[in-house]
Amino acid sequence: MKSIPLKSDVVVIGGGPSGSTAANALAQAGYDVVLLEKAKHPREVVGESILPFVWKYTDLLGATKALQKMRFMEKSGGTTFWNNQLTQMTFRDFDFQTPALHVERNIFDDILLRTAEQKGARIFEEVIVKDLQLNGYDNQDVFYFDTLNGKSGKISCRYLVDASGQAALVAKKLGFREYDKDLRFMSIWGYFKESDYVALGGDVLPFSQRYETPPTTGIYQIGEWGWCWQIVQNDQVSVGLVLSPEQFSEFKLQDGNLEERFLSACRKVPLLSDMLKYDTLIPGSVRAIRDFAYYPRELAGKGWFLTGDAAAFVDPINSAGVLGGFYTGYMAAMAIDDSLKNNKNRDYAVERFSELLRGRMAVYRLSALPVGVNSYQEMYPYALSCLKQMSDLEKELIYTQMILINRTENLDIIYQLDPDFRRLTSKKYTLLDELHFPASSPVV
Amino acid sequence: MATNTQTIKDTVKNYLMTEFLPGEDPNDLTDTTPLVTGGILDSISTFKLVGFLHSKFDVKLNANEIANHLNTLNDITDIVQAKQGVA
Repeated sequence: MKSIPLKSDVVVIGGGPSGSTAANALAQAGYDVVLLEKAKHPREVVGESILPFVWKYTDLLGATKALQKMRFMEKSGGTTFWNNQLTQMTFRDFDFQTPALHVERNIFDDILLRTAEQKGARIFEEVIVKDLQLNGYDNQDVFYFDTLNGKSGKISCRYLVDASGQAALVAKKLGFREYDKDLRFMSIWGYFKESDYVALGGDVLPFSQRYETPPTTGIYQIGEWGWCWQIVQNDQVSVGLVLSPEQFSEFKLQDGNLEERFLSACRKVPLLSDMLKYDTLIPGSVRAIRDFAYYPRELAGKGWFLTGDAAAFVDPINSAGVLGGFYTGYMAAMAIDDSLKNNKNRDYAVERFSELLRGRMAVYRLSALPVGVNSYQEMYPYALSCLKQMSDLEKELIYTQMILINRTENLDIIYQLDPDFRRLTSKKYTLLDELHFPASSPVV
Repeated sequence: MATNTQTIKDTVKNYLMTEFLPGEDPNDLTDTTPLVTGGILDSISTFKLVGFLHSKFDVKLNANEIANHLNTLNDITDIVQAKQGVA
C-alpha cells in the first residue's frame, strides 16, 4: 500500500472541486503534490447546480471527456418565483457553447479527484488533518491521522492549499474567520425519486420527460428571507430549504421527525408544493446543516492559500459555489507555480491572489446577498478589478441572476463601481404570468 | 532599471504570443488589439501576465492598474514605463 511521504512541494487539504483543481494543475506543472482527503470518494455532498463556465476549467484539467461520459442532466435555465413574480432565464440566450448541469456531486467530484491522480497528484483518502504549523515560506507542517492504518504522522511541504471546505482549517487555526452575523441560515435538503418540473416557457412536465425537454433549476422564495431549490437530476430530484433562524425556529416546532418536518415545510412552498411527489422522498436522504456566510480576513500568506469554501461561503443561491471552487483552486495553483519558479515573485503572488479573491467575493456578495449586508466597502476596489476582467457573458449572467432573485438594489453599487456594467444589461430574462400545469392549473 | 519602449513592447508581445496565442500570426496582434475586452486575456491569463511583468521588469501593478491599464500592448508598455519611472 502506498504511504504518505514525509515531504512534498505542495500539500492540498481536501478533495472537493477546488482541491482537485489545485492538485491537478500543480501536478501538470511538474510539482510533487500530495492531496489529503478525509472521506473515501465517491462521497455525498450537496450543491448540484453547475454553471456552464466550468468547462473552461475541466478542459484545463483534462477532465471534460470523463465528465461528458457520465451524461449528467443538462438544464436549460432557471425559473424563480420571487415577490409573487415568475421569471425565467435560459442559457441559450447567452450564447453558451457548453451546457449547464445538474450533477450527482459524488460522481462529479470523484471524477475530478481521479483525474488529478492521473495527472500525477498523490491522493490519500480517509486521512484526517489534525493540526497545521505554518512556519513561513517553504516550511509548512501538516499533522494527520491515517484512518486506514490507525497511525498519526506529519508531512512537510513548501506550499499548502487549504481546500478543506467549511472546516476551513487554516482560517480556524489562525483565528481569522469573520462571520456575517446577519447571515446565519439553516439548510435542510432531501432527495425525491421524482417530481414534476418547470421547463422553458413555464410548462410543468412530469419527471419522465426530463430528457426530451430539459428542466430549469427552480428557485422559490419562502417568506421574506428564505428560499428553496429544486434540481432535477438523472435519477432523483434534490430539494432544499434555506431558512432564516426565525424560520428555522418555526420549522423545529413542527411535529414529527426531520423527514416529516421537511415534507410539511415543502408543502408550504408555493408552486413547488404542486410539483412534488411526496411519497417518493428517499428514506434517510434528508440532511440539515447550520450555515453562516463568512470570509477570512486573510486569503493567503507566506506559503499558504485558501480555496473554495475554505476561502469564503456566501449563499448557494446563484449556483456559483462549484465554479468558485475551480476558479480559486486554479488561481492558487498559478500563484504557487509563480512563487516556486521565481522566489522574488512570492510576496506579490500572495497579494495578487488575495486581491483577486476579495474582488470576486465582493462581486458575488453584491449579486447574492440582500442589500444591507454588503458593507465590505474596503473590498470594492478589488470588485472593480474583478468586473473588468470578466467577460461580457459572465457579467450578463450575474446581472440576470440578480434580476431573477430580486437583488437589484445592489445593482446601483455595481454601476457606480463599473459604469460599463450598465451597457451589458440586455434583457435576457422573461417574465411569466403563470406556470402551465398539465391538468388543473393553479393560477399565480 | 529602466527599459526602453520597444524592448518592453517586444518582450510583452513575445510573451503573449507564446503563452496565450500559440500558432497565431504575430501580425494579428497589433499595438492596439484589445486584449481584455477582446477576450485574449481572462482573469487566469491576466494573473500570469502580471506575474511576468513583475519578474521581468520589476513592476507591481495594483488592482486599479490591472483593471484599467492592460487592454492593449500600448497600454501595457505605458504602465510598465510609468511604473519604472520613465517619462
